[in-house]
Amino acid sequence: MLSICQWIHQTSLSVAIRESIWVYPILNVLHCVGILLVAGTIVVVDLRLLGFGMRRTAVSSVVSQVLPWTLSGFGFMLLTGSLLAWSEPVRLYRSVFFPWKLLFLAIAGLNALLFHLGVYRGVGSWDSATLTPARARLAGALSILCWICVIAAGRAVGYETT
Amino acid sequence: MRPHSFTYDFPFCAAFEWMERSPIGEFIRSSRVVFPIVESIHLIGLALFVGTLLLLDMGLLGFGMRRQPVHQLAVALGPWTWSGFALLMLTGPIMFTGQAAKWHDNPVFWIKMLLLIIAIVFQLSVRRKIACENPLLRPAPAKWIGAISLLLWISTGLLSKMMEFV
Repeated sequence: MLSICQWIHQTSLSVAIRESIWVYPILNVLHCVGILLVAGTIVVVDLRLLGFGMRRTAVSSVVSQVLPWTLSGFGFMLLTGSLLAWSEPVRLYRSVFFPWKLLFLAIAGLNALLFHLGVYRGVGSWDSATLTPARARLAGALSILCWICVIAAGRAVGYETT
Repeated sequence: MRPHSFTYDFPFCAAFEWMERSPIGEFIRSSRVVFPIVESIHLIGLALFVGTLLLLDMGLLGFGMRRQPVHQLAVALGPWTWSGFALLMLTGPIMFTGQAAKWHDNPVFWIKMLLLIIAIVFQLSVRRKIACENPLLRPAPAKWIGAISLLLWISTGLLSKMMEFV
């Protein structure tokens, strides 16, 4: 794994991002915008599932209107994040918080996937309910928790000295 | 962190220096984890703020959230937007105090603060009064209000991150 990281580290793309004055900061800024878009919009869905927000709108209506924004933010975040990671793979390999960030990201993704394949299939029967099924509330709470952890771990990576 | 010596002669030098050396400033610099924790809370507040604001602005622009009237959307999302804003206002000044003198010397910081004030004023006056509480707003002015609001907040956000790198 370390040798793969070292190989990435010396690729011309990695060197170019690292050594240019503006590319790294700009990617960093865009990455932040991406994650804010993802976390900020998905939280609206989560709040609806938990019964704390948009209670008068049907769950499926909230999901279908918000999800395009979450997904485009996610694509944006993934693209800029990969480039950032490509520019300093060895540091991230040695990082304590980076694996945690990836773990929480994976749990958030898995949680969303299971929600859509599972309890959301039968949304018809609880679409306009304020009190959604326990599994939907659990998914909402887990999602909020995961994204908070992703943001906190991501921020911690920036301050690590390895 | 070292106490800062000024390179630009902006106003409020002494006040900023006093803030940085105050007990709050000392506390923030006392440990390596305090600042990242406060910053994480700031970002979580920002996510809540930007996310809900974006959805409402998209409703105004007519790009999304089209299945309910904008004023209804504003009622549903408003409390969350302002909760996010409260988190930002709580954590922002704390982070600032830790390095007040450093930010004092950063031109991008001043531009950000200026934009922030403009954005808040716009939010409280035009966007809230005209767009969100008026069910009969015509599409064209709504589009302008949504676009200006987005532009103001996005540039404030971009500058916030950018000022770290200046």
